[in-house]
Amino acid sequence: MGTDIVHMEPIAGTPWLMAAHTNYDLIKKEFNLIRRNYILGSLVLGFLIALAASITARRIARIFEARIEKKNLQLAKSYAELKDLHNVLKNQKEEIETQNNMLVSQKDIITRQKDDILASIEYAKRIQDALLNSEKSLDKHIANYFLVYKPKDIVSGDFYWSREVNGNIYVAVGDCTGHGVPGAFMSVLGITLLNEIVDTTNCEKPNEMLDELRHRLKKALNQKSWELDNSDGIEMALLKYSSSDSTVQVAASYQSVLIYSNGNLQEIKGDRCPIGVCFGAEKNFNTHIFRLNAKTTFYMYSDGYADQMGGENNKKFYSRRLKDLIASIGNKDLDEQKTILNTTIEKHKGNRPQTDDIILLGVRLS
Amino acid sequence: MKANQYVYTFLGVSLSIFIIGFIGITLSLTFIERNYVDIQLDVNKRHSQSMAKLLENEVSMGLDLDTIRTRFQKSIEGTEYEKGFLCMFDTGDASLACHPNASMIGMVMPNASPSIYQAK
Repeated sequence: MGTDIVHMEPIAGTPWLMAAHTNYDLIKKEFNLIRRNYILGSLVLGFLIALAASITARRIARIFEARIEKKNLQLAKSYAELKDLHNVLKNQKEEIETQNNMLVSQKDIITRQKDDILASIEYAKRIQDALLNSEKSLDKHIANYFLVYKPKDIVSGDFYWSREVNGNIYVAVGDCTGHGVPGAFMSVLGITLLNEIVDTTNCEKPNEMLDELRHRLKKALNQKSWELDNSDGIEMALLKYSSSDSTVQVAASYQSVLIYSNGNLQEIKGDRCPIGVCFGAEKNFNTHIFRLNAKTTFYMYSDGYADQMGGENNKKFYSRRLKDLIASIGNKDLDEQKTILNTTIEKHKGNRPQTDDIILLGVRLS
Repeated sequence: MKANQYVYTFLGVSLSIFIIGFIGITLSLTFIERNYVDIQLDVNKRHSQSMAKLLENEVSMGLDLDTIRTRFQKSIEGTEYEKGFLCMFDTGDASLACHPNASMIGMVMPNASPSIYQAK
């Protein structure tokens, strides 16, 4: 192992040179020793740093992992709750769908039943129309008249009837208890009984006919007393016109008959006794007799016109107003009167439903 | 599971430190080695310059050359010379005038390999 001269310095005033020797190999060897120790130290230090860093990192990570675990637990709980809710909603949806299907099928059944019922009622109307005297029949017996006839439903509890017997003309307007199908049944019964009375009895006066009608109706309905039985019945006005002596006889149950003649309107109030079972003692009906001296118009009507709800305050039309209206139009042509009465009640009703069956028959006699 | 996490973290950190340390230590040792050798060389150079200046002072003070050489030989003789040392050449015949190893005095320095001395 040799040394190398790394520097030579001349010494002034002498023949000498000062030489500096260095042993490179030894320096290298020493440095390699330093390198080895440095690396070993670094490895040990690195290991310790790695260990400390790992532990510290894990401890810090544990803090965040604990938070994440807590959040995960909350999320799992929320998820479970949502899942339960989802199942509940799913069950409810299935139940609603089942109910909906059931409702749809029930609706179909109800629709079919409604169609069947409507068809039956339509057929019943045909029967009622056949039993009712048609306006053509009225034409045959009465020369001058008008009719306002508005069933609330397809069939009506209000009816009109007319017959000619021995040169006398009978005209009746009836209002049966209820409306619709029950009213129609009663009206059919009333018409049938009136025809029977005319055909099979000797009753000629209107009051006698109403008495007989009441008797037969009670019998038909098996009504014995007001307390025990149903109070179904008919309110009716019956008019008999004898052209031979120009007299008019009027009998009425509850219904009023208005008489317009020479600009005056007179009201004949019906007896306060129903055609049917009576509250209290039963009284015979009365007949009012009029001799026609001039052109006279008789108005027979049910309470449907006066009871119709409507107007700005949704109130009844009222019979007082009806009387005033008739008094104001009584001298007009009957067709015009019909138009005015129709228009007035429709305007009063507006878009509201009809309250009851309406019938109003005007007969002009002279 | 928790133990595995510790192991993985440790391995990850260790690998990172090893890679960074390897690159850093390699670069730093290269730099230190270069500086260490330079410092050693510089120290020896300054040492030789200082001693040359000292001997020049003695010459200027009127001491004869033989006394100066003898005193310098005595001062360096027997000192450790494995790692590095100072010696003095006589430019007249390129022989060693002073050396820590007195037996080397009188040896001639060949031109080709100044680190190998030859006997006269």
